Amino acid sequence: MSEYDRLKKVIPPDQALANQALGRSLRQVKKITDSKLPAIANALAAMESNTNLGLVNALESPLPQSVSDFWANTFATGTGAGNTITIDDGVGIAAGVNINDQMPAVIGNIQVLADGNQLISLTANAADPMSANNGIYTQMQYCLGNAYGPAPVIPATLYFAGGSFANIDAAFSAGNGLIAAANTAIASINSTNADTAGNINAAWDTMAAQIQQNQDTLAAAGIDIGNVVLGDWANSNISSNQQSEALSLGTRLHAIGLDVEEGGAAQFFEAVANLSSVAGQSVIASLREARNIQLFNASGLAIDTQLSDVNANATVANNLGDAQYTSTQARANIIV
Amino acid sequence: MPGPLSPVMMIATAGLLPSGASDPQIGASLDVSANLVTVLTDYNDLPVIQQFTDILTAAGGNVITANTLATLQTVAANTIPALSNAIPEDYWSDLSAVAPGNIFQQYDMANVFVGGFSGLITNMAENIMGGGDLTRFSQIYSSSQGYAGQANQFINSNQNVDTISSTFGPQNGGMDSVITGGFNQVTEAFGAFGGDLQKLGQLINLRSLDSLGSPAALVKQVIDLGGLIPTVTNLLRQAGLDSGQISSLAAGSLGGITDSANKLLYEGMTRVTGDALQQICAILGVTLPVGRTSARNPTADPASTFNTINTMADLLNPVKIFPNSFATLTMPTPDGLRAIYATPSGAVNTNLEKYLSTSTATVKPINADLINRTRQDSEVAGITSTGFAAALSRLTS
Repeated sequence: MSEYDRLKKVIPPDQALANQALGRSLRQVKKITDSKLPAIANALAAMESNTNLGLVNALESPLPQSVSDFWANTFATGTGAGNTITIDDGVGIAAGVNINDQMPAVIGNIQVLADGNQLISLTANAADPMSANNGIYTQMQYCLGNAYGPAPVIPATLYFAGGSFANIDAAFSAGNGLIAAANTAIASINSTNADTAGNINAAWDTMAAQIQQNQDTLAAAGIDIGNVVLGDWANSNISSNQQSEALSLGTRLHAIGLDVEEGGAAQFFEAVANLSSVAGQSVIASLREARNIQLFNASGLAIDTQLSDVNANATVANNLGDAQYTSTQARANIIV
Repeated sequence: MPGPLSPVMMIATAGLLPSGASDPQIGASLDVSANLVTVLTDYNDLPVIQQFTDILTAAGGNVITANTLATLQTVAANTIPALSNAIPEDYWSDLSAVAPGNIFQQYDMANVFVGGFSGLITNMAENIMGGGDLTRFSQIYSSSQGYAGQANQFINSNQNVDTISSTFGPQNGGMDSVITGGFNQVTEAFGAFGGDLQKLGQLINLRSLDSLGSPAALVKQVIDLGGLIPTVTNLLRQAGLDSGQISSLAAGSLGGITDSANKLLYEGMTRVTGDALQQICAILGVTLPVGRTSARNPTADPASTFNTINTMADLLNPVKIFPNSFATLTMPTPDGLRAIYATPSGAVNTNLEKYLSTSTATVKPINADLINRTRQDSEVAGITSTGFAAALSRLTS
């Protein structure tokens, strides 16, 4: 038996029906059970609806697919959860994100190639410009050093067919020149050492993708960092000596310390803190301090790193009269 | 003024401000990751890379043309670019700042090699860190963080809309339900309804909406707010409740009240008028006009109007307690929102009975728990709009 079926035996049926219908309607209101009637009454008095907004009322889904796609495709380009933008997506290169772990892989695999004599087509140096054992990089060096003359006559080697060229530039740029030869030699290394080359390229691409991520994110943030030449900030919208931003950043160090997610602010600042200076070490100390304060606050304790308000007494208006009775005065006022 | 910053924060922040001061800590807080510098140095020191760097350095002295130098920097770009410190060809268009043909302008190289791919990384990192000016870094970081914070709100909201979608539909008023928190399902006349509610004080306990209209629930609310006043105690005794049941009710339990006792309570309420009614209204905070009838003069006050509360029982009548909005009240049904009152004069819409009564054979009542969860809980991701509609559909079959 429903509440209504019971209630209509208790009060007039029409009132029972109206009450139960109203109760059902009110239960659709989110969090209504956590509220109080007077609070709801005040809120409702000012609440607005989509009256006269026919197109909004006609929506069949809360967000049209085209709008959802726009947000997803235009902004959801980060590496965070749900493609959100992380600190590392904007400035991670400076912290070595996707570089510090990938570059050692590149180095290690190039070393594998070198140890296996797979790079001699490039680097072999017989200490004689005319030797047939020289690699192509080595011949490039000899050529630039004028060892083959201003109109280079480059000898054939195990890795290069050689040839006569009108000038040094032609020796490099010609279709049968040194650059083409280097490309051919490295293509051969690539095919002969597919796994090792694949490892190198995967790491290299990851680093390139990180650069692109930073460049694109900063551009979206209004900073054209990709086009900034060191020392030339004209196109970056960034000016020197903006102390307010530095002060603002300093006051946010505690908030930064609490952002401990992967790719978050704490991780970034830990990486770029200059440990050779007390200022840099203080950055890390501030981050740790924030986390300690959070822990202490959660446990009802306190930490002694917040400066007391030393000027508090000085700011009290001393000409105000006493506004509280002393214990003696209070006792004297009581009629026994 | 409070001084909320800790000593280490003050040292750290001094290190963000421009260098040049006598204190060597000023401007020394942050720098490019030391590990980054190390791994880049290790790479640049590889013999094959060092050799190619020497080639580029030598070639940069106007020995070859700018175009040839640019081409030289693309050696192996599409095979193993790491063997020439080249930017991978696949990224030339994406990394427009370093695309071939544009490389000299971007780096202002003037035929001076600046380090290839590893140099690009160094340049990016140093630029981000402000090129030695941490106030620049502060701006870059703040802009980046601000952008991320703003963008992420939209990204997350775009994903969260799936949750809203699960309960979005014509049954509950579509977008009106979203922006009003579901109040549109009660009424669209928010001003009138809100005005009526403002006169009800705490008449209705929002935690027990299932019991809306129940005399026992009303008595319980009076007890909660004002205690067991004589008027209420008399009501309860006249309804046949013993001391134990009264204590149980006062303690918060409505379960011990039988329907017959509840009916007696209601009948008793029809006799609560005058001063006693005024007292109860005062306890509840009800400010609706109260009729001037009394136990000594039980005749209805001739001056009473449509919306005057003449007896305590009137506090259970929506027409009386919502005089300006009762005609606008609605209830969600599988067919959409439906009027609770069929006419502005207060005749109830009996069509709703089929949704609320289990004794009606043709239509089962809406699963109130399901509907309630869709609004009361945020964890409704598991209920799709299709599933919700299907559930409602099944309930009508």
